[in-house]
Amino acid sequence: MVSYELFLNYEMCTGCRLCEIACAMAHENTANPQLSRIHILQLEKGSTTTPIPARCMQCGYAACEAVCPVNAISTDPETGSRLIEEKKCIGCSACVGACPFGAATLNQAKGLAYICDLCQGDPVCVRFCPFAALEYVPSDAWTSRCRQSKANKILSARKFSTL
Amino acid sequence: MMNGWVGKILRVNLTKQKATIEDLSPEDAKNYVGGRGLGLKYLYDEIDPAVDALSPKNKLMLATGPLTGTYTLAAGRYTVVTKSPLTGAIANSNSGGYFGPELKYAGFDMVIVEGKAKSPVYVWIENDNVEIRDAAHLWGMDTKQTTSMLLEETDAQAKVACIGPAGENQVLMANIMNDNGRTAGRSGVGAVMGSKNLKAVVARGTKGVTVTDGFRDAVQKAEEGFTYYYVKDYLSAYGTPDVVLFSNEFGILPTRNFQTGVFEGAEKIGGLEIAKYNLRGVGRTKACLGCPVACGRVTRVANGEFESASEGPEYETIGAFGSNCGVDNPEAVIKANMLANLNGMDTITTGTTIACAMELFEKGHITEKDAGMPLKFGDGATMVKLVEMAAQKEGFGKDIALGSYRLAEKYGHPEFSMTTKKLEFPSYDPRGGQGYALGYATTSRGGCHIRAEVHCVEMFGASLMGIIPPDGENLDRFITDGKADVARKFQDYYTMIDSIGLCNFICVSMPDVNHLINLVEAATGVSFDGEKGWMKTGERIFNLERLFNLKAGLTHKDDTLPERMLKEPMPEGPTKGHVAQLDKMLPEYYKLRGWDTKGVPSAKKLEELGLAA
Repeated sequence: MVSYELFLNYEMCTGCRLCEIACAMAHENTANPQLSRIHILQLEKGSTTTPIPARCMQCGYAACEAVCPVNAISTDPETGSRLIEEKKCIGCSACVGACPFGAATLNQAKGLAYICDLCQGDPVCVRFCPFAALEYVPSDAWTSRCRQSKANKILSARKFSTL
Repeated sequence: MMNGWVGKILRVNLTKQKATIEDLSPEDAKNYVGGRGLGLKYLYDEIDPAVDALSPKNKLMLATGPLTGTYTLAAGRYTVVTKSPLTGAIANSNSGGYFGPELKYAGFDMVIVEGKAKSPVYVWIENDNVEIRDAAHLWGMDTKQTTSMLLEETDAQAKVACIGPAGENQVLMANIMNDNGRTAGRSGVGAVMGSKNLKAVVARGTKGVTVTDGFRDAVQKAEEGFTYYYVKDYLSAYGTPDVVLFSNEFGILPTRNFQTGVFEGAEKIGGLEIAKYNLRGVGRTKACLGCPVACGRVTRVANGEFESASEGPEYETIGAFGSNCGVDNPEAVIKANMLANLNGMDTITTGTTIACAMELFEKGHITEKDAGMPLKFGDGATMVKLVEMAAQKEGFGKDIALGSYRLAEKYGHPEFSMTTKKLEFPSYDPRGGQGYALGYATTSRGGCHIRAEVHCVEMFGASLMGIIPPDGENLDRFITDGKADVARKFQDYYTMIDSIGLCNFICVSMPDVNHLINLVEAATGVSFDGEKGWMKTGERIFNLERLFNLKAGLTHKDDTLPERMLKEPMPEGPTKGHVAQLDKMLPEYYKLRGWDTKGVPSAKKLEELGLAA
């Protein structure tokens, strides 16, 4: 079975926030970036403000899943993402505290945690990103692309004597 | 519970140090929509248009549209509406970025600022919690420093709209910057904010914008319709600087204070040249909320006399600081742009005012003694110096800070000010197209192209939402026939674009106006009665702006162009020999608008639009 992963191309992100709004619309039916599972942070650096996406890292051994006291969090066998069983969730925020990436959040209005679930294998954020900053591709395709790109860079930097 | 709109207006009274929340009436929402229209409605009802724009009696509206913050394309705009201290007429400046949407997420369709604070303050809006905080420690700081400090004091992910030293000093072309690179640029709206001792408005919202179920389909249709190649390909690649060579090829690139339309140095400051200074790597192109084009970019001059970095310069900036000042050094233009951003000044008015001063100097009406230095066309270093001096009203900068009309008047020759209603023209010489020349003369805020982009059909070959004959049929730019009708239709149409919260560039890229109407109706659940009702709403807002201007003391005599445009034929290039033939179009324009020969809306027209007293 080919495993897919969500990859971020930071150089392509323009900070347009469509991923945030689309995610919130898909999951919560409201255009509210606060309720998105992916966040665009605007960071001050030098002469410009730079957008950096922050999202669930889809851990292989997830801290959120490990700390949940009521076993409300599990792993989707298809996508490898976290799934939260809302009926079990007690809104204790243990997962919120455990995640080193800030990817688990509490929905204050509902009293329930929310974490990226990769939209059952068809991530909405990927669909809406106009700049291909987000991709959902087979892991080895991404890896080989990076290797190839690096190799090409080395090749083009190298000078050859005439043949 | 509203959809699209969030249904609340925040009123901040700086004199009383109080913030109150009121409801947005469904009637106002439908009849005035949002942005430019809604801001105008409240301003017209609440102030005497004859009031001094820099007095506490003026009000400042920060108005979003029903689509602002939703997930359709480019839904990031908000509009600043107030009375302009530069023109004395209505001011409506649109801006993109993320600040407008954040106001919606905080739960407000519009913020009204009234009165004047005793000392510098900023307003911090965090959902329903609104504080008026001391800003003494920020007064004097540039817009970038201000934004950084405010993010530290409030929330790292808050959005900031602020003025720079120019706004604080009530420089007549001061603007309001947001998100470190976007601006409500024209008409001196920043000076109004400064006159109220208001340094910034900071917003952070965690609420949402709801829409009806039909919105998903409407967005999909709109996205499928988004095809106009210029916006998708060129703007994405180079941003607006790409237009420089285009204008030069038509012979309408303002050169040396609009003395001619062909600039010998155009290639040196065109899109490709400016692109060489674009920042690379992460964050290299910037998009406003929801925009697939990302026309924003940061340019950087790494070293030398003009070392600088900032978002921009846009086409208009390159025209005003570049060709119009006879400057062919892109680095000087980039630095001038940065200084304008940091100090919070409109680049069009600033650049074209400097150009005006340069021509007055060339003709001997301003001496080296008057200015403290020679003001030669082509002198990039002086051009850059004057930007900073104007922000501080230092030396000759004090004259620049008046805008070109009052400056030229001071030196006895107002005819050298390239303005209508004291608002400097953008970078398209009006002798190049009769339709947009009429647009400049009659647009409510003054000499402006973007309130009715007739130049797009006269030169770009755009069909613009099917309102004008389809793609490929350029209206001959030199004929006057039929232009009155084109101009007024565009003005009404663009009024709607300015009121719904979407970016102009996206709106004009849809082949059918009904895609746009559909989007707004689907978001709000409110019917605008088809294309006819849509245009009528635009017409209503435009006529109310006319009433505002008339009450402010403007007359039909202000619907004109400088002598140069009317009497001096373009001396060279593809537009050679032409003048703007306003007299052939204006009477028909008034007639089509239902205005009398003095440009006053008839009682019949006002009644038809629901504006009867």
